[in-house]
Amino acid sequence: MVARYLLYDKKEALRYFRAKGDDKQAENACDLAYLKLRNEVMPRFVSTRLKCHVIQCSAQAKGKIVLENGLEFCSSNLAKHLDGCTEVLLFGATLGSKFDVAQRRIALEGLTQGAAAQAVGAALIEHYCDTVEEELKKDFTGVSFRWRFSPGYGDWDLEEQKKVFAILNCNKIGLTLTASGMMAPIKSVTAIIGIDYRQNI
Amino acid sequence: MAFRDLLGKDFLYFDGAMGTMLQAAGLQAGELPEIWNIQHPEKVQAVHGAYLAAGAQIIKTNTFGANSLKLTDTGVSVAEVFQGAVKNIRSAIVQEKSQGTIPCDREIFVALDMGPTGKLLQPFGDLAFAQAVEIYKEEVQAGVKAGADIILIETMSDSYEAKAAILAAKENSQLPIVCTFTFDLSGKLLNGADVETAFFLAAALGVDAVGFNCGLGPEQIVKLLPRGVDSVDLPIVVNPNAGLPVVKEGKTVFAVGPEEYGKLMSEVAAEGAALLGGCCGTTPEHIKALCENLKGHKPIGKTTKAETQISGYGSSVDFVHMPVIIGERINPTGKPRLKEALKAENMDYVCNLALEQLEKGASALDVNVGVPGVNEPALLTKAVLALQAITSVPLQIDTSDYIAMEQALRIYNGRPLLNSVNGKEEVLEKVLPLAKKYGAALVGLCLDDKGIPESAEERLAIAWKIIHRAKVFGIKEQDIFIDPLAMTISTGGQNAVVALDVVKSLHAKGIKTIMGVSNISFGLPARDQVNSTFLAMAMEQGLSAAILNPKSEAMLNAYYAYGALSNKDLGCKAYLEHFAGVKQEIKPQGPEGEYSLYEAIVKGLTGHSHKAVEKLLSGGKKPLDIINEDMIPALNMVGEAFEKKTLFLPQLLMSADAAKAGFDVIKQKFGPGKENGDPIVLATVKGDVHDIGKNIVKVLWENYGYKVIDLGKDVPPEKIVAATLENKAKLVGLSALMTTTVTSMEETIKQLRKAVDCKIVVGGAVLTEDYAKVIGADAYAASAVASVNYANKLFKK
Repeated sequence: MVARYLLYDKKEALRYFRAKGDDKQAENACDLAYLKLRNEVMPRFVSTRLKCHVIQCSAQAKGKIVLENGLEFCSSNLAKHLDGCTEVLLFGATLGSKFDVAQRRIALEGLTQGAAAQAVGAALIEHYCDTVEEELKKDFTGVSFRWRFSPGYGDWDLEEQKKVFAILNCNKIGLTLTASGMMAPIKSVTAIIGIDYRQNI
Repeated sequence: MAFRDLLGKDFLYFDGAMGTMLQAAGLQAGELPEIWNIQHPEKVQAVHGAYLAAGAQIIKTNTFGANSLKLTDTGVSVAEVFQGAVKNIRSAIVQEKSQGTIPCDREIFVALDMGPTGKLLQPFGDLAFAQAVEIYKEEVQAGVKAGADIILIETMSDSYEAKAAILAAKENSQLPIVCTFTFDLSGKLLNGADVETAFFLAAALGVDAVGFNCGLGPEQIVKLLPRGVDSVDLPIVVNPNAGLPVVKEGKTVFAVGPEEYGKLMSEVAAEGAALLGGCCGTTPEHIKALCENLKGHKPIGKTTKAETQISGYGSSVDFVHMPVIIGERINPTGKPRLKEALKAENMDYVCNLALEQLEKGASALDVNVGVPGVNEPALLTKAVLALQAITSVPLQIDTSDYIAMEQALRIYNGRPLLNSVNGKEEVLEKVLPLAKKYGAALVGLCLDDKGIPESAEERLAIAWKIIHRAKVFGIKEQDIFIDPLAMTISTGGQNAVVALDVVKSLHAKGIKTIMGVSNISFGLPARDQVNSTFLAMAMEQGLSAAILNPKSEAMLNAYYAYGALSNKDLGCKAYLEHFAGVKQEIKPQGPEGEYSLYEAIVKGLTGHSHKAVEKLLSGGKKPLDIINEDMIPALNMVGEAFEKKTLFLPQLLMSADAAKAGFDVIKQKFGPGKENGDPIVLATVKGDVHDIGKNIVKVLWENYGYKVIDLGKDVPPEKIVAATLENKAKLVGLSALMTTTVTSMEETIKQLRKAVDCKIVVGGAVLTEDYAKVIGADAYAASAVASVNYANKLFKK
């Protein structure tokens, strides 16, 4: 799936850039990076929907999410976050590998531009994830959702990214996992969203 | 009849989907369909049988993902899967023929099916090009041994990976090769390459047919098809999905039914496809409908010839209208700073030279790293890899070292220009096979064993010799660019006229020409004047590509003015963009006025810092005094403010950039004399490719006068140990950004402790003071400034 439109949220970019107050130079750096990056993104996503059973942590074991296909995500934080959910949405999203080339090119200009490009990229992929979320949620009425949670958050071990990749057909969007567990292209996200079918909670 | 004899003459029908058929037969999600070749051969054979009965002639082995990466931990080898897969098709053929469902004399071809590895190639992911070739090699050898008839490389969404697969196929078999790509609605691969670029690259590498599969339905592919047909002179394959995927209740379904599919595929055939079949969601009924609709028809073929092109990662350049500007700057001849950079393997310097030229309008870049005393094969490969990591424009590989030539051609991501071959026997014998094998466009120089002839006639004779010899090796005339060799007019009055005569005469015969323009004025004053006029004259004679310095304004002025006058620049579009400022340069705006160096650094004003240093130097201040009295105090002030949180990361970075700009002025004037600072080794550890934090530390350390040996990212422990020993470094800085790579940081520290006596400072988002102690580091730097403070304390600055 390809997004139609990718918004540049300057405030978010400046936050990732760790700019504070009214910093015109930082704004300028982000704007420049955005202008150079905007034609280099090819955002795409894959998603799936799975029934699940959430087991909270005990004195003996970490919490876990048991999926309908038999796979389990082990994380007490995630289990707590998904408490009450009986189904999950899982998605992977990426800005594509051309972005990587452009970011490396911009980084040659200096530290400021390199870091600004990185910050703008982070803002772009996060915004893209927002639009993906919106798209996925369209299919539902009368349910509540939990905000998206990704491998590496809290005690959800990054190692479990492998399980996410085993479920999603990430190859379809050119999203891969390196031997050390990093996603390539660099500006990519995978996330899980809990669906709670209980009324009036 | 053999496959190659049927190609393009009769329609050939591929089968349809395997995966969705096996799912219907009980394959579970997460189960590898390839294993079913061995575990459930009867079910796989049943699918093959149904497609044969439907009319398919090319049956794909059920081996899409049967590579060593995906089969790890399955207990089944690549060879076993291919053995089983080919056998399943052969059995199905025997059965269908014996049952009489298909005629005994029907030609059936078993296609050794290879899909993507599932990994991204370097520098985008962690799979080295050579590894990718190895993975495909294993599949090809297994499939050939099992008795496949043709090789099908399919669902390629990265042209670089397709190149690896095609090379593996060529190097390990004689079988016909078919390569199909997966495009999106706009006709782009995931790496951004368009239909023309991908098809042309596959064709140049020597496949027998090229085409589309998966991703889209027939209705969408038919719109992209004319672009594919025009871009190559090969039969075109179309294996679409049964329409665009639609998600229903979380499950993907394909909506186009057999009857509609058959109709749509007739349109596909009418647009020029010669091999047709199906992909995801298609069934034997779809294939049957397709075959019945096309019964009695023949492929339409094509009449126009495809134009030649060169390409990089996803973007291509043709030679139809304006001559192509090839930037000449990455060539160490007469450039002492580039020579130094190349000896030091400083790829940032090389990449910056590339960017400068691209900004000025170069469409391709010449890459020559021939410095006496360097390991040219390793260095050229390194330079090509570095350049294709930051830009997608085509490169011209320029070397006379055959080993360097082959290595660079091999790892090049796209279709390069190869500079060069000439009329010498030995050179022809060595270079032509390389150009053919790697599908390069080729520059031919008008010189031979006797040197460069004086007259145009003699140079033309060499040109034709090259063209004819190339033909023997299977290289087409249209892929050759003859360089008449412009000799300076300061040593011979006829030199320009002779070169232009050669261009004119070849252009009249439809042969492309290329020329290094600047040489014409060697030894003369006001060279730009001569060069730019010569360029205009050469363009008028039909020059196809000019190798020049795009930073020369006179040259570009002549180029665009000529384009407008000759109507080669349609509607004066390029002219207007160049002169009317339509193409706005994106430049940072800084405040006006004059700033002291101290102020410029504190405020992070790169341009002002540059100017301030120049002013101080011209006022007679010594470089060392500038550093100690202006720069270091400014950096200290910024560092302290950052620690106190009165100033933030962007300002810190801008100040570091501004200080660096100041140092660069000093370095440029006085040479790189700061190499005597205390050495520090710096690296992002193995498995981790994050390097922004590491780069900040590097620049700050350098600004404080340390000699930083930056090993880059994803660096194995052994390399860090070796560099520390070699440079006698007393401090090593390590960076890791992920919990998964902190383990490799720990391993690096362990190995360093065993081999060297040095301090180790670590940093990165996931680390803490305590964690750093646990893994055995001497210090934890919470920020780049902290790493400077630590170094200054250690070296008592």
